Amino acid sequence: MKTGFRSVHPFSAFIFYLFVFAVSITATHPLTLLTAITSAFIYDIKLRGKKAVSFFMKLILPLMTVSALINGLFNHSGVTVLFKLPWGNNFTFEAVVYGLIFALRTGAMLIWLFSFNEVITNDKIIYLFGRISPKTALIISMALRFIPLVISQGEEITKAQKGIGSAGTSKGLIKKINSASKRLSVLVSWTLERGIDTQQSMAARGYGLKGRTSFSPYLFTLKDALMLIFSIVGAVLYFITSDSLSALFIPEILIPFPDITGISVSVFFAFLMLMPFLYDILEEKKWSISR
Amino acid sequence: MLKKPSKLTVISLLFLFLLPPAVIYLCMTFFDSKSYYAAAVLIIICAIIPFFVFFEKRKIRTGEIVIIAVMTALSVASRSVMAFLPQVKPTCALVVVTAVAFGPNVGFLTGALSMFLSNFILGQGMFTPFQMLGMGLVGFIAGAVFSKKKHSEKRLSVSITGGLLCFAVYGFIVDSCSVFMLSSSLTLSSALPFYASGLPFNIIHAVTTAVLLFFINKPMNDKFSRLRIKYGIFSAE
Amino acid sequence: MVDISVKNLCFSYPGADKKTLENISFEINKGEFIILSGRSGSGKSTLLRMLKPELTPHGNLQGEITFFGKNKSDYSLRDSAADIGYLLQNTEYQTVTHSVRSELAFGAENLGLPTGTIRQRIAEISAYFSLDGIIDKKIDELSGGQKQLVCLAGILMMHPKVLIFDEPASQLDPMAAETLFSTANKLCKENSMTVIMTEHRLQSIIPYADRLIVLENGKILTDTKPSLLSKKLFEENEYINLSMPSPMRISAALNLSDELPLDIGGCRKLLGEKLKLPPHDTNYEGETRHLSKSYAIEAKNVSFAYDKSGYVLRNFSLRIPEGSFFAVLGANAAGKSTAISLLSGLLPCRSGKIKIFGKDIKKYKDSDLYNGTVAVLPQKCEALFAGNSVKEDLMNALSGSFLTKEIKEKKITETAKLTEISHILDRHPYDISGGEMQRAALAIVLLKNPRIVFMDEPTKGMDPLFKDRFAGIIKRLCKSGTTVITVSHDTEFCARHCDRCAMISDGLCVLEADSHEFFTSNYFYTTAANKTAREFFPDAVTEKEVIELCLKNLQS
Repeated sequence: MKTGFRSVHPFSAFIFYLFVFAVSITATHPLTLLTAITSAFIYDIKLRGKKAVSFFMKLILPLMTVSALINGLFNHSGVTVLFKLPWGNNFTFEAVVYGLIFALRTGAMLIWLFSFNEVITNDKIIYLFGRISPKTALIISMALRFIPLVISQGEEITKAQKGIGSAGTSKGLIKKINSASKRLSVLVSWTLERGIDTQQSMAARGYGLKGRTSFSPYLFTLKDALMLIFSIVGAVLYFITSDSLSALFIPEILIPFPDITGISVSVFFAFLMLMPFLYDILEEKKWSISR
Repeated sequence: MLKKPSKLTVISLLFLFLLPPAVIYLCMTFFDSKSYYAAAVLIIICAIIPFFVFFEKRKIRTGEIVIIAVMTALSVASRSVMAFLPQVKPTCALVVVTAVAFGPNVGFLTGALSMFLSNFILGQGMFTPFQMLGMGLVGFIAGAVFSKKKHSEKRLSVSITGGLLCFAVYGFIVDSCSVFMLSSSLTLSSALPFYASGLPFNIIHAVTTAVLLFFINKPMNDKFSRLRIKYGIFSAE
Repeated sequence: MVDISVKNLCFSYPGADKKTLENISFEINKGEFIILSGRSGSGKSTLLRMLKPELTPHGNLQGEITFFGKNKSDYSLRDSAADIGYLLQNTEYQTVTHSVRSELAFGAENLGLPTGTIRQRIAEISAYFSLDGIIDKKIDELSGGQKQLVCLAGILMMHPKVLIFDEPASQLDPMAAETLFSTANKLCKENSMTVIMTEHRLQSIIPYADRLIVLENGKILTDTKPSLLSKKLFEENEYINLSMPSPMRISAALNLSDELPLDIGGCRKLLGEKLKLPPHDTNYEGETRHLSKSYAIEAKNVSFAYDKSGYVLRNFSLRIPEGSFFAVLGANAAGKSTAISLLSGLLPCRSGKIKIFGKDIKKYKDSDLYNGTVAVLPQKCEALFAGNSVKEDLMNALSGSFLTKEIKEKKITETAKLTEISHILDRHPYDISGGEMQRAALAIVLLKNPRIVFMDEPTKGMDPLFKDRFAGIIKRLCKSGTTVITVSHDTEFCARHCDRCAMISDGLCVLEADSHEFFTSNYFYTTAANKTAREFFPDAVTEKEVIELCLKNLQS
């Protein structure tokens, strides 16, 4: 069992991520956006160390440049004209800034996604899916079981066909696809025919009886409840205060300085978004003492 | 084209076509923060969820569950037999074949889950919902068009339709994701470069899918009709 | 107490004239360990499925089956799911979910047990099976034996009363099979679960068994305590004589005692009593085949590593005479399969030298090497079948050549005759038995006219009669000059049929000898017959040799 934020109940963690994704992708005020991307970055560094930094440098920074450029080239509204484009349209300062803001959103989302994939593991996704549709959750789990099988069988087939001299050495795309589709046919036969055993194994263990339960290894504790409540409160606050924390870029840049409500909400957001990081740090402290 | 569409198919279709406008309306009225991406994802989630809920409600045989799981795994992982053909991704072709044999609902599920599971390996990304909807729709449409006809007559038409769906539905939806992600204004001129840059990839994807379908459609159908009896599933849907 | 009783059971599959099961009656008592035996096609799989309502095939069923005192029609599927556990032979496909934990929970969830109960049962089961190390793993990270144990544990989560094992170890290596069998025995003896098992490797399970039921052509041939198996049957029935463990066969043939000994120690003791004096004539002059002096394959100082983590083979040298049936033996992960892949050119030889018919393997083009020189029979023969009939796949194998249709047909007919599959040419490849599929795969391989055939564990899961026929086919091939090289775990098979054997350990070829010499010079890694009679006849390897020598000594 993992410790820290990764041990939080999948439902609470998922709602938390929904909240940060929603904020990251819809916020307009630079203060909110910076909070989102900074806290995402801090947690990413905590989880992935150097890789997080190099991801930021290699992907997020270029993304911002490209986005600023694209917006400058295709969005021509804005009052501050920097220069005229060769095809006669304006290249405006506002459009570039808006492009940057836009990239900030996508960047925050991308960084959050990294920790999302680390925290919300496959098992947790299957658990969450199981709440909406237990059958689909079972199919996902079965398919995850079949995927490595299919891969190893595929390798076996390639080897076997080479060993009897019918490897796909033929030239030309169509011919190649033809020989590949033969192999695919072997693979499909193999998997589907042997899948009958899966069906029988399921039937033998009583799949299809009425009143199937779904077992969850996760426990919902007070901490998880708090996490959940915080995230919901955050989401509600975000909707209510979206007016006092919004900015305008086109046609003119208007970034109002946040009022008292705006500032206090921002502080709460910062606290909430840093939760995963704080969670991990505090737990690490706790368990290093007990050793 | 559908001789006798099942109730669930009709309801799924209704949801698919009525929900998005409703969500767009909601997005416009409640937050005008101009995040097309967020709005699009909301729409997609609203469009996808009914399929899963209805699937849950439907009475389904164990054999069908195994087939969906197997075909999903094959769509995700069967590239292992085509290592020497890096440009060919068999996912789309296999989804179409499954849909043709087992109908629109199974087609949608296999398509959507294939994309979802592909992302299990690399980690979910911003494209996930778009890929799920795109491939799901490819399966849904292919299933709706072909599942009630006689199998042997349509080698060429399945192959061409499959290629077209791959290009026009999957390609378009996934490219729209980059537009929503990177472009701040939603005009034709700002969206065009994204679609244009995706064009070569989409054409290759569509052509290879069509060729692959041309070769595998018949053998796959033979297998499916045999296995339908062995698994104890007698009709499509 | 009777758990399941079967009375006058007859069964035939739809459309078949012949009855698969005919007039079967027996009772299964609580806590019994029953072995159900019989050759492939004797109906034993069908009979097992009759004992598990969910898996009962469609067809014409007559007679009466009662489960725990209830008639089959009154016995609910819910009870059946919980009471009767059924372990299939397919290690890979009978696991349903992706992780060990969810696999354990699967059956219990189907029964509708609450989370708390499932949690408790998982804890209990994983302590009993010592699953702690693997409980958090994915299924595909487990070995075959572990997968089978996890499946069994998943069944036990439902607290069954009867456990049915359908050739549970046919895809496992000997060590993993032993673990599974002893677990089954423990469950039977300690938890008084009833065990019904079909298995070809009788040597390992017969000491556990309370009863042995042998089926032949859908009828019960005998139903008895294993030690009381009639000696007459050993003489009269080919299957019994070939399938029973060596100690039983030796003591039956020599009539050592009234009750047959089930283990090697028992037989050795009886043999000692019978022979009394140390035997004077211990030499066995087996006829060894005269092998050609030229070599099909010569490997010299071959080393190989998949990555930098370590050598799989190092300084591996081996010479394989042309026209021989050659076996490569060794423990798991000793490098046997890697050696075969290197010798057949499937893996590139980067260090050392491999010559095929005197020519360096690197100088062969792939298209020449695999068309007429070398062919490899894959371990999983499913990798060769895609068609709607066996014949279609045989035709496909010839699709690259420019022969006329008649010649192709003729070749297929000949090859089918050689591999004894003429009667199944029109069947679907997945509707024939494992042993038949193996022979059909061999036919595909032989259509390429190879001079050297490689095989990876060809006898895995084959019944003893099939094995004998398979060996016959290979010997015919060898006589016609083809070299056959096989990797195997099956010491009995190699001792009986191979010309030469090599032992690989730790990436080295440690011993290479004439198969007779090979097994007599080994102390642990040898046949059961050799272990039984070693102190009297160190030269005897097979039961036949032991029996002959014994008789010779008793006569004089």
